[in-house]
Amino acid sequence: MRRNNLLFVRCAGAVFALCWSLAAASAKVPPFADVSALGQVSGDERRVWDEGDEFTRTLARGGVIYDDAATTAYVQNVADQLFPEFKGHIQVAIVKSAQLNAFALPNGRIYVNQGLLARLQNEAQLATLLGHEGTHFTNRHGYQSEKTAKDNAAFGVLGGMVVPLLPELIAVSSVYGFSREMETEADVQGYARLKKAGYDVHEAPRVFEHLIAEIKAEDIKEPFFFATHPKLADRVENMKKLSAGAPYGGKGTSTAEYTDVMMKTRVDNLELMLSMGRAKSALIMLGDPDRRAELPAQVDYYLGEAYRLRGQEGDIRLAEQAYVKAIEAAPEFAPSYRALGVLRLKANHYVDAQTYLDRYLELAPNAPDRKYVESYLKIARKKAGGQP
Amino acid sequence: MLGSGAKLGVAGADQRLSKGEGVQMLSSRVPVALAAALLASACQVQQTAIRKDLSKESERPLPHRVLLAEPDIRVHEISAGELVEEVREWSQKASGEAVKSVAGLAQSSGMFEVVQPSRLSDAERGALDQYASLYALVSGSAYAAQHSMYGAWQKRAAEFDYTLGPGMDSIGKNTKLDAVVFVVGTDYISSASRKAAMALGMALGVLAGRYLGPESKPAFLSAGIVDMHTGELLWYSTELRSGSDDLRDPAVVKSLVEDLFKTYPGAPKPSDAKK
Amino acid sequence: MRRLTGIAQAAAVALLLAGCAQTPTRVDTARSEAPDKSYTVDLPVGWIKQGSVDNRKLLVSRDGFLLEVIEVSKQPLKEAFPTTKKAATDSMLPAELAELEIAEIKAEDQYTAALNVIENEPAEIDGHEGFRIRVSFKNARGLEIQRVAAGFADKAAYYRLAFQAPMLYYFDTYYPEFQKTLASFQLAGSARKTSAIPAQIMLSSASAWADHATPQ
Repeated sequence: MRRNNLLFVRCAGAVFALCWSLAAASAKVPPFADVSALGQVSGDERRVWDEGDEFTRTLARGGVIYDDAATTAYVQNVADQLFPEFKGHIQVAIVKSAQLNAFALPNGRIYVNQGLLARLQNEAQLATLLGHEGTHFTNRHGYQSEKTAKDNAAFGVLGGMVVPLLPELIAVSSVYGFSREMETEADVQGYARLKKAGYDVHEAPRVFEHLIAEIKAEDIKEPFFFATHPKLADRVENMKKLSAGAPYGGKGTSTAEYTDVMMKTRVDNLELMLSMGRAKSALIMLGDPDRRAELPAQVDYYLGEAYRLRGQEGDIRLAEQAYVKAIEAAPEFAPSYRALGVLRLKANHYVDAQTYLDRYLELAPNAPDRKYVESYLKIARKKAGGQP
Repeated sequence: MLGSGAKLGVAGADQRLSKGEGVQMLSSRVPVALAAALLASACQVQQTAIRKDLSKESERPLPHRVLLAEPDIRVHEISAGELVEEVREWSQKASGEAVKSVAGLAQSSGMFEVVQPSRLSDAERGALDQYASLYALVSGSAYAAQHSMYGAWQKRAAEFDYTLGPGMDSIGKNTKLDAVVFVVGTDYISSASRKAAMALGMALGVLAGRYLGPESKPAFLSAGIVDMHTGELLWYSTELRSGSDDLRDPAVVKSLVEDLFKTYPGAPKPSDAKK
Repeated sequence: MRRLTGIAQAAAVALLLAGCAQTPTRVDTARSEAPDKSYTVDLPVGWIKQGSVDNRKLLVSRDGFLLEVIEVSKQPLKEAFPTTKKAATDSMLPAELAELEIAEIKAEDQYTAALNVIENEPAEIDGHEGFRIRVSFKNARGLEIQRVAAGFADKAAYYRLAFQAPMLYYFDTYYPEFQKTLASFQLAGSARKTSAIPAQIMLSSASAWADHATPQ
């Protein structure tokens, strides 16, 4: 029995050594030298690309792609300026999601959420993002990650036979997602692309500052930001260090030009955020007077909606003020009247409510919520009987 | 990415079916591990069901011209660390073998005349794809009911009146189709390192008194025939095989297809084969 | 990226249910009582009924929960919308409840997040002012799924009745069953205020159906 135990320990030790060597053998994959290398993708890497293709199809079938040809073409053009040698191989699409996120698939597909596009302020910031994501593709980080994950997982499970804690230790270090090293590499090489394409590199740190603001506002753990990545604050500092001393005046800093392109996306995103109840996140842009200037005249309606949905003490008063301002700024924008009318109704100001709700239906006779508004008007008229 | 790229997408795609309890409404995705666990636990049993009116040959004629929809067979490699990765090349190989086997069996036995989807228009193929998606839910529901531990669902499965609805009729009008056969399947092939781990697990198991390596995953294949005019699921059959059976192997697929179709009313009887 | 076959999906659902729900039973008589006896409702005879362990939900399906499902739920006001962590109050307007219900559905996954609202209108349920929404989204395989939900809040709880099915065949076929269930809902001890209300719901639903039920 004792002899068996000794043999078991020896065998287990051999397994452990074998596994360690497997994990250590996960050598770094070199970047694609040029576009001709893409045609030679094979074996395990081909599989990872195939999975990327399947995921691409799933996203398309599932109806989650934001279908706006002009905006997509604009974003694609920025990517092509950053990676001219990979033009036609890096393909960008926009995802209908308000979350601040973007990701690159191993097959060269880059997905940017409309929430992130809406939050960025100019083309240089967009270029920073795309330079980073494109570098994940050119440097084959997807394939490298899969390879490392496989090796580490193999090590973890086999090692787990004798050292149960090992899988957990490996899991928290770098099994899933791109490693810190890859993120840093994408930051640095993306920055180089940004510079080479003539963009103003001083805009680069702003991208990460937007993310920090989002996370603070939503008070959420975004594991994809934190689990395996350099701290965002550190990345801001790194970007600042990289750009220190670089000349100002590069291209892509015009907020107005970017706003022109992104206006529809921003409005769509605001509506998406509000429809999902993400009021705090919406208030990041809406609560900042400078950012409000990047939105259409009825912006205060959305600000009012965000306050109403946040529902903290005093928010209803703020919402009401915002709706009033929205009506002043955009008197033909119907939803502001409905929103104000409903607030007045709930505050028992029935005559006011009736006025605003009537005006809403005048401006939007085919409103999808007409039946609700008619029911409110019925109440308001009935109750306003005694009011002047 | 600013976050963890592709992996985020994967996680998103596999989000929960429900939170808490009940099926709740309704997402269409369930955790992979759960399904794998169920498949692994559902030993090697053939399950089959036939519409009652079809089981009596006199009542309803069997379909003659049958469209063989492109099989949806997914073959994965499973690593030593239990990471599962579909290998498209293998999936295509397995799907191709399934087409050959079904077509070969149909021809040799005279069960029905096979029509390939290449004869359909683009619009018809698009419609067929939608029905294939619905078939996945219908056959999945039938399977789940059959395997349910609860009598209510088992009785429901026994009634076997599942349908895709009458809308498929338009797909086969020009080609005068009577029915469509859907073939779905999955398989998990152990990587070399996982096979090594299995061998080591076995060796260590001799000393430890129990097997310590990773478990093998069964190959799963299913076929179902749907009436093109009524949308009724006429017959379906599933087969699970564990061990070394591999859906990339033409002989394995051929044998699985033959076993699947043994319960089809139009299949050759053992006595026919002897003649 | 890992796609399950329908069979594996449904099998997994069966496993989920086996682990965390009450024993399913066939509906033999239409009139059914809530697990906590707080309401009664007509369920389709012959369908299979399953309650959740916490007694807050009744799920009913004929062929399987992936094909057609009616859900009747009663949630405490503070836990009315668990995913978005929002509460309901009895002072909320029906449109505000509908807004929170839509946000809750959108929060389910990336596919429902991209849903389209087809209808959103007031409805009376057992004489209570409530809402009725109809949304559409696609699953990972591109199959269009639609869901109708109607709900209201009183001092005690948030009540919701919902129906979901793929648009191909199932929604059209079994939606009338849901309409009957919705029209029959009655809180315990409540005297139905009006008989015209359910008819109104039926009428508006029917006209909406004519607009949207385009064969695919």
